[in-house]
Amino acid sequence: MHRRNFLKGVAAGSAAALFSPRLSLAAESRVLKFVPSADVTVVDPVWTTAYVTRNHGYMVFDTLYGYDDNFQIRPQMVAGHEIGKDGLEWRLTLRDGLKFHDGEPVLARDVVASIRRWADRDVFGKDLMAATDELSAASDKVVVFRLKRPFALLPAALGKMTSRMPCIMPERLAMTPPSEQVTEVIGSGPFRFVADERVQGALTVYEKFEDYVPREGSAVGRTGGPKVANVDRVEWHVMPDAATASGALQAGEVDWVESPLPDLLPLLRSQDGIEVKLLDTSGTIGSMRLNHLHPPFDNPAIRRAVLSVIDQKNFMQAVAGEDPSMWRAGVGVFTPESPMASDAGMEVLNGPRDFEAGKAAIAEAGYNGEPVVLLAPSDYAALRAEAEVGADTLNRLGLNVDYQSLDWGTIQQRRRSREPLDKGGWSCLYTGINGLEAWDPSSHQNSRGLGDAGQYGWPVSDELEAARKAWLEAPDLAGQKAACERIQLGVFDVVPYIPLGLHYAPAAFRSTVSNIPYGFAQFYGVTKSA
Amino acid sequence: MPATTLAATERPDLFVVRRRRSGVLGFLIGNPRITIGGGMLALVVLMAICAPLLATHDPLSLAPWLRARFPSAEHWFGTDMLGRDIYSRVIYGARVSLTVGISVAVLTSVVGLFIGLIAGYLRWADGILMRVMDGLMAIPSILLAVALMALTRGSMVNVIIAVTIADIPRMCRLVRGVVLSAREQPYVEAAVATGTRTHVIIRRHILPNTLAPMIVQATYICASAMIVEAILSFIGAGTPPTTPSWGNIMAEGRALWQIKPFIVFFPAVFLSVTVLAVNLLGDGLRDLLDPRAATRT
Amino acid sequence: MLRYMVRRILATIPVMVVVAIFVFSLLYFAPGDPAAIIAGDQATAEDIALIRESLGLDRPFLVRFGEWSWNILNGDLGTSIFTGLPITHLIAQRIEPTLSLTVLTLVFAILVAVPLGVLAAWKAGTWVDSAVMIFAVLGFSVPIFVVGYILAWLMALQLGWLPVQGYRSIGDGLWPWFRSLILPSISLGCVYIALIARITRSTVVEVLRQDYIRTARAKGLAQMPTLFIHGLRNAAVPIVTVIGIGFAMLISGTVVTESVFALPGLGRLTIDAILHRDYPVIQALVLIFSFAYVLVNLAVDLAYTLFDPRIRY
Repeated sequence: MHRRNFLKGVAAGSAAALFSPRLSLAAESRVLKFVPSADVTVVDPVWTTAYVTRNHGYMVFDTLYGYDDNFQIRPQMVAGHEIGKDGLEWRLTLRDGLKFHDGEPVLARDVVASIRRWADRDVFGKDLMAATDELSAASDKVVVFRLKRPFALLPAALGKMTSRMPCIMPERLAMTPPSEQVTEVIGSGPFRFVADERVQGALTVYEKFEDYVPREGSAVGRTGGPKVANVDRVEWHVMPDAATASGALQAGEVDWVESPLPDLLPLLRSQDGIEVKLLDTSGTIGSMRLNHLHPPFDNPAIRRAVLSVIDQKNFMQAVAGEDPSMWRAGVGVFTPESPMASDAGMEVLNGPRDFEAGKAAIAEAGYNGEPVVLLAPSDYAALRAEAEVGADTLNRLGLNVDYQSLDWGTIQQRRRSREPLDKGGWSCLYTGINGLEAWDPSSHQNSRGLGDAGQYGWPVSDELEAARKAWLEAPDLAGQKAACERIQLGVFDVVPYIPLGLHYAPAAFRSTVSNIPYGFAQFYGVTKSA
Repeated sequence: MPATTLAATERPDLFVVRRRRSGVLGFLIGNPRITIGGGMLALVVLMAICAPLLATHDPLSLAPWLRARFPSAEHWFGTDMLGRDIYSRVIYGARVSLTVGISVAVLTSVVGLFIGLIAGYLRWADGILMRVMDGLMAIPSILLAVALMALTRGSMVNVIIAVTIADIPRMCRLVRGVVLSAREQPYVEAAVATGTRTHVIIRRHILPNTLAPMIVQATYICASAMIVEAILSFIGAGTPPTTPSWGNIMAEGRALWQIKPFIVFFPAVFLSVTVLAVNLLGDGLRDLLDPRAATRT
Repeated sequence: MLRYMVRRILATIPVMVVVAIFVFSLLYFAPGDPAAIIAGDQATAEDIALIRESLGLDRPFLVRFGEWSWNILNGDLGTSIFTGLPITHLIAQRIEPTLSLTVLTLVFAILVAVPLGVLAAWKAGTWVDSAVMIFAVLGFSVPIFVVGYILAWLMALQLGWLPVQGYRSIGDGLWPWFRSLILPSISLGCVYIALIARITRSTVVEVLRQDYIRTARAKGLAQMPTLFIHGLRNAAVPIVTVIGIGFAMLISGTVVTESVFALPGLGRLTIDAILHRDYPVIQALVLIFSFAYVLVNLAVDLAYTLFDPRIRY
């Protein structure tokens, strides 16, 4: 771009900002103002695993399958499927009326290209592709999976609600390498992305896609459909300050705040015209990741000693406050409501917390006062609270804690370092596992034992990997449950991470807004009265 | 925040007849700003030194089951989001604010004096040095601090370095200005003409002239550094929570401002009073040391 | 005059070069990896490596610096790593709120501070003087965000007079635009009120010492209005100076104010870019801030000739 273009760009942008007509003045009740917990910085749901991009993805894109309120998988873009050849061939037929936002119909080849791109990066997608011999478009309407071995979870993978979203986009965009972002946002979902009005870091705008044809039948909740857009326009206003977001809701300047600060919930509840409701019933599980490469946490006995003194109640109160309905202690590897959750081995977390015994165990394991580098994010409230309680716990155990306060961006890089502690390495850090991710082993990264090929922390455990494989191949629910008990026992033995309890983040919204679906922030069927 | 060359507090002598006083008491009565400012500052310093005696709790001990409690007989200023005693944290926090304020003031003075002297004395170095100073001055200190935190980690030392880098150009410009004007003075020209050595001229003639405005400037820099420390905590680039500071107590409690105002209120009062004291002291010193300062902007 | 301006503008080039090298090196050596942030929490090391490669982040320092400098010289500020949007577009979208906020803040501060300063000088040595000056010192003893919260709570939540947050474009009408900026500019203006009131007071005190004023005052001629005009004329130069040196502070202040009041301005863009490690955006913004700083100070110098005919270039 040359200088003249620069000036032109500035002039055009300013003019657009100055004179763009505001729809909101005309029909206030047709516009829904929402405060997300982060900005949709990346618009390609395959390029990133950020939750906010997943939520954005479910506005704009559609998926082949969806989940209902009972976590049952349901057809969404597909009319139905036929399974043949003893479970080795799946024929998925697209339903009628599917159309992209650029006016083109959704064809089977778009689906094939989109699934290929997604499966190249997604964990569950890779599992599916490993079992797939050939994926092809038999006609404009029919997608065929020819499998090497039966894969009963195929619809679950293609409708997964966790990141990365198996979104369907036009073939021309889906041909983009998965390491590059697709910046042209063309989906076939009920809302259209308004690129012109986007202000990076401040505002994202969606408009109702008039040509969207919802499924027939009554609402089943979540992503199961039918996905009906009842408002003309949805604006996502990013507010960096949590107190400001609550203030804006109180003053009626916005309609819906995705996750207000837990401490402000009593105040919001007491206000007329504001409702507080737990939408995302699966919550978030706190996780303390341990680095298995360096002392002291390369020693399993020390890891188990730390596990033995973790008091989930303390962590959860620090994160979510004293109201016990906002959190749960006694949480194992899987989300408590999930069929995969069990009591196997839970006594290590639920028994009395004995610091003296813990100290003795650490001394016996040969701890020599090596430093424990704890990475704590300064700009991420929930994780900072966990890090502070964690540092306190480790100190009381007699470990030599080096508390390093960093911004989240730095931690995201530092945690990938396998170097020793004096060269930028680390010993432990804190993350959150979304309750949906911990629902079953499919996307449960924390419980993997892949070593160098796995996530930061690099725990090695053949048992954990074998148990996950057993789950993928289990023929029925009982088999899946048994595999998950193995995983939980394995986690308590190897300690790749320590679960810190589960906390809920209710949403707050004006009483004029109703019919908000359960789950992460979704706008299907949401209505707003004047 | 720039510690600008601020107003003197001198009065038009037409209407005020000053009685000469002598002795320490006389000095104190004659310079109320120094007395009040210095007195308040002395109290804060005393509080910082005696923090272990004054505190009622360990400022670091967590009690998540006692979080965000209103002030009570047990917790005089209430407790914060992790159940730590705010009174004890505020008392210990004085150490951070004072350390940051004083370190920045001393460091900028030393470095600013050194660079300013060179720039003022060596013509060929002047251009380069002042361009670098202009460049540094153009980078907002908040951005610098966030970048430094990313470079290493959040710590008091980083806050001090970031604020110092941003304030050095101001001090440097001040010193350079004084040196340039001093060089024009007849007695300095005479000294140069008689072949007096440069370092002697600097020591005898230049330094005494720069000292007064520098002390005054340093007090304002000290005050502004304390405020910047608080603002850095607000954007997450300040001292880590394991080092209690007024800034990070306020930053942590700010979201609860509507329902638990005391978390922000107590550290804010202490910070404001301390900054006020340093500013008053600066005004008073200016009165005393540099009565002509008002004409120099 | 024109020659002077040209020389001054040419003199900014080395300043900009210093800033550019400093910022580029600082960011290059700072840890934090945009690829890791893009990929998100569940990504594998392989995902991140692929993204790094496709963004060209794995190339050496000199190559990246050279390419960046060359593009800048050609008027191309680059694109955001995260959104792929051109940075000129991002800045154009954000410039209006920040410009509005800073200009209103200055106007507001001058309107409040100059009368206060004159009043204090007029009543120099009395309790009025002390009260005004203590008020002024308090103005920069309280952090901006505390002032902002108190104002938002009182004026917006309790009284409901003004919006809690948000920015309305001037295209939506002058009144909505002004309303949305009242609280932010008061919070940001407190520091400036303090500075300008003090500088005004000291200048007017000087003026009062002039023989002609003393005479006029002794005759009972010089009253508040005349003094105000005299004061303003004489205080203009120092006030303009304060605005010049305070510019960097104003930028830092907008970062905080824009966060508290959720204004979509350049300050927030900068902090977001730093926390995300969106290098091209940070570099472009710091360059632009430095350039604005240099321009403001040039304008300040030129303003001297306007307010004080004795100064010539």
